[in-house]
Amino acid sequence: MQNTVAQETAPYATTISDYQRDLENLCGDFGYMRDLANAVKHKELDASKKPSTQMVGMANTEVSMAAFQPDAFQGNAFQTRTGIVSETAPAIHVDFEKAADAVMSMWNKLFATHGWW
Amino acid sequence: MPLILDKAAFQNSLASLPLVTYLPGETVIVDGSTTDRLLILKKGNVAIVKEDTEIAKVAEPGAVFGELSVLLNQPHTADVRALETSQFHIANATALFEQNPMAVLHVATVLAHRLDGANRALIQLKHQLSTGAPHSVIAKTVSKMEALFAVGSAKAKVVNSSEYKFQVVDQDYADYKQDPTSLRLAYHLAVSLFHLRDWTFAEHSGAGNCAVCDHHQ
Repeated sequence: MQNTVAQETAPYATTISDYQRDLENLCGDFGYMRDLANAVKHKELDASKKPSTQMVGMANTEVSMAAFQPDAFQGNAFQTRTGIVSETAPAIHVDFEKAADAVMSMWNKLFATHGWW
Repeated sequence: MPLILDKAAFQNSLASLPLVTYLPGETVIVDGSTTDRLLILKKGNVAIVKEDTEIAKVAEPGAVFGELSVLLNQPHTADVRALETSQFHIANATALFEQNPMAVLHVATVLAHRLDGANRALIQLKHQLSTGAPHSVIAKTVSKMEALFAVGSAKAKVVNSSEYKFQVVDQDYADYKQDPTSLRLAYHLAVSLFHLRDWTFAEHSGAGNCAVCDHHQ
């Protein structure tokens, strides 16, 4: 329900901070994407940027061999693959590709919903 | 039965037409001139320029230039400039229309798309006016209509509009998906996905200013 409300109000937020909050309500990974984009630009994140995650900079992101579970009902369910992973809080890791898919999907829906094409 | 143009057949029907190539920066069509020629983009990227302001970019193969001038017997109403090496089929309009029914259908379809797009933009504009939308929002809709009226392509994108930016992000996403372990492509995509926030906010919230780069909040 919250997402529906945010989807209706997102483009009409009157401040960029409200808009950021609406977008994070639509897709939790958008906060991570903002922090990563700011880390790319500034190398390090400081408190004045009010990061959405606990990332401190680009050092939190690396190419990593990560374990994942494609299908729990398969005998060899746990596999590994190489991907880009960010540590967004102690012991909390975000798979960049999945986050990018989610944020891209959010933008696709927003553009379709609001006729921004 | 819907009247749908077979785009591949249309492209093939142009094969016998002469090709002309323009280098980046060269003017393809001069505002105010009369040529009785149609130019059909084969490949490349061009800008539509009115009064020294770039109002749209076109990169879609099959985009037509000069059709209004020919059909209404009036001078061209904008400059067309090559942004990169661009190749056009060039045709005498009268001869092409007489000999190639697919060309007539193609131009009619392009014009119909532009009329449909302009109608939608007009409805959007009326809504914005009735709800007291900020001037910056109204100005963007007017720019969109201007591009629709000026460009012979159904897929022309208004420069700096969020829809144009989305295309850029979409390309960044596709590039990253080709190599999901590339940190460079991932960083590029992260910045693009984030910047779309500022572009859409500037265009659709009424804030009127883009916060990209200097005001990451």
